[in-house]
Amino acid sequence: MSSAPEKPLRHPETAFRTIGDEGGLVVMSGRQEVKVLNPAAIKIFTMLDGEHSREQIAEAIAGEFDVSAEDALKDVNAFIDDLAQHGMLNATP
Amino acid sequence: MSETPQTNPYRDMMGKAFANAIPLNAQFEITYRCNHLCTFCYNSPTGQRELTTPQIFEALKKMADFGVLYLTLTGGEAMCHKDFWAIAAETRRLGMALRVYSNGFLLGDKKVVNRLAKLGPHEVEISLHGARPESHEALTHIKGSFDKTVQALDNLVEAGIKVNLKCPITKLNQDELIGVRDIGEKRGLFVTFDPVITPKDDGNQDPLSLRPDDAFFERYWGELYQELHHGKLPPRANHCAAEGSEANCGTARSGFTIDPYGNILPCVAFRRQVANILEIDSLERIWRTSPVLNEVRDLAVQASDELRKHKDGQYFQFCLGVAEVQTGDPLGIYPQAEVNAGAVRKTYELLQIEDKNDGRKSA
Repeated sequence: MSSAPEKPLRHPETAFRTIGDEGGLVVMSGRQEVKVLNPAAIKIFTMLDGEHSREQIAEAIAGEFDVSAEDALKDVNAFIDDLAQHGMLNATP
Repeated sequence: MSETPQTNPYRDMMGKAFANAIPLNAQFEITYRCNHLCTFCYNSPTGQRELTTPQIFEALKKMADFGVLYLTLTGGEAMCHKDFWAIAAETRRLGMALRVYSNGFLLGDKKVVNRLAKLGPHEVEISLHGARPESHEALTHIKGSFDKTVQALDNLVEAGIKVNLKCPITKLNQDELIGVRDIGEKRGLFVTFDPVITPKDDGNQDPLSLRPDDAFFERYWGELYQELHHGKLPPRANHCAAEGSEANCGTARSGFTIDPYGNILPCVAFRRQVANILEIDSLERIWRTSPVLNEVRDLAVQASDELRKHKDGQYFQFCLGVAEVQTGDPLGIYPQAEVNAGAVRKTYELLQIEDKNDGRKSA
């Protein structure tokens, strides 16, 4: 796991939208970057509000998608680390 | 879990949003005030009172709650609104990606651009009306506006802000389009040339007098287009429709427009009033149930069907809004669209290209 905080907060310069049941888009406004997210990833992204812990997010993912809690937590950690590397998390929530 | 936008997943996602009429974009005309006097401006202020700043904030909140991803502040000249900075900051605070359409006059000041850069705008769109002060200012009627706008390009590029440079083609600049392209390319900017001059929103046709003649467009869609775009061929579909869509364009589908009085419109060009944003609880309900929006969506599909029957159908770039203002019928073929389609067809015929691009891409 990276040094991303335990209750991660998405970067304030990100804008995102869920597209039906298909997933969604995240825009890093100042950098003209756009990410396409699958349904699980957009669900995680919406919960990066600085109030939900990684475990709580993983629990929500396991409850909604066909994945064990253990695997969900691995995915959540990997995704959050990826976002952190791309500067899409707020460094100081 | 994620893909880069240049790959198919991005296009697929945009296509799904388009097909399901999930709007990602909104244009917010926050004022009709402007510091230019452009001859061909399509705005038609009615004299009603424009939204106050608190009302603009209320509208922004409703758009953010609806899930708008890209919010464009425009006008008039958006930056002439006395509270532009507060409105732009609120747009970002609400989590929407900020776009600004501007004539660039005020962005000729580096301090202004640096202030804008701090808001992290997604992009700024600037219109340039000629390659020389004489041609640009013959349209804007503001002395010094050419230099300010070109300086704005430099300032924006230096600040790392993405710029979309546009040039509406008129009689006054038709002979210097290469020069306009070069102004953009010198700064690493791609220039989009707009071949359609639209009537005013109230139906006044005066702006059409600035349109170059048909002979020019024969040349434009032929060798000039390819010269301007380094060998690329003209497009054969509307730029605002998703690839493979049954609808002609994204009106009432990929986005919507709010005018300075708060009226919700299907798009910037098709200005049928849907409702006033101050009088509705949420955009979600009106978006799905409005008879006006549903009719406009149906019309966009009908337009595709009608164009397919036309001999130049596959070459049309057709705007329902322009058709309605110009012919009284949103499906009416207006002269500019027909001339352009015919000229594009001839180009493809001359090059003996039908359904394949012969190794070259259309722009």
